[in-house]
Amino acid sequence: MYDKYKSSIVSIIATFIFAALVIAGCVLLPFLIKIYMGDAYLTDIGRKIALYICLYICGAFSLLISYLLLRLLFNIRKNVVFDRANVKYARYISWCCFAVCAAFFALGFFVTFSFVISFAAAFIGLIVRVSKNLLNEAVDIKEENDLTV
Amino acid sequence: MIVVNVDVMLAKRKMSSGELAQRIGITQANLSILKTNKAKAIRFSTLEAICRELKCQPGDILEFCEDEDSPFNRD
Repeated sequence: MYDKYKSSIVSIIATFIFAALVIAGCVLLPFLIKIYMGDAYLTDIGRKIALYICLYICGAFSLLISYLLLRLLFNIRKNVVFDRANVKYARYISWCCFAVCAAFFALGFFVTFSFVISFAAAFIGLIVRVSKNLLNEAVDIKEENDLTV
Repeated sequence: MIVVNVDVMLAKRKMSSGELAQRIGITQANLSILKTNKAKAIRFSTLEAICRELKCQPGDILEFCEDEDSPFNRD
């Protein structure tokens, strides 16, 4: 049975797990790169540096997104839903997605496959942005409703 | 912009805000929104109740003022 209280708890736990995985990924990045890409692929020092810079930038933005998601979720639990602060958080999340998109796009000149990840990040950013526009309209309607006597 | 002159009519009728709010069935907070010109809309039912209790016409309560700072002119 669907329960919105439990659903928000699941979302909060999932966000914490996501943040923990990002931190673990950043700490274990050299090992992960070695496992997934192999030593032979990273003989080019320029490519290696670009890969590290891009992934650490993305790690930072992912942590920021996790923090913003938690702020959003805690606001929802406090019944503060149609609020300008939530619109602001959603806007920051979309900007973070576009920043990740830009980082992977730049990495694409060293590692061609990252263009695909860049496209995915841009698409997620777009979805969040449209949701933000929707939320903004809902906040406007609520404000108008609240100020109708 | 539309200016709400409820307080002027209240003074004329020597009625308190609380009494008017109670008579027309809205909260004091909502009446305060109306009096401070923060309201974005007013229901016909509320307007009717105010006019009935204050024995006046809608034109006595609502007044149009030319104002460039109006939120409706900004759009």
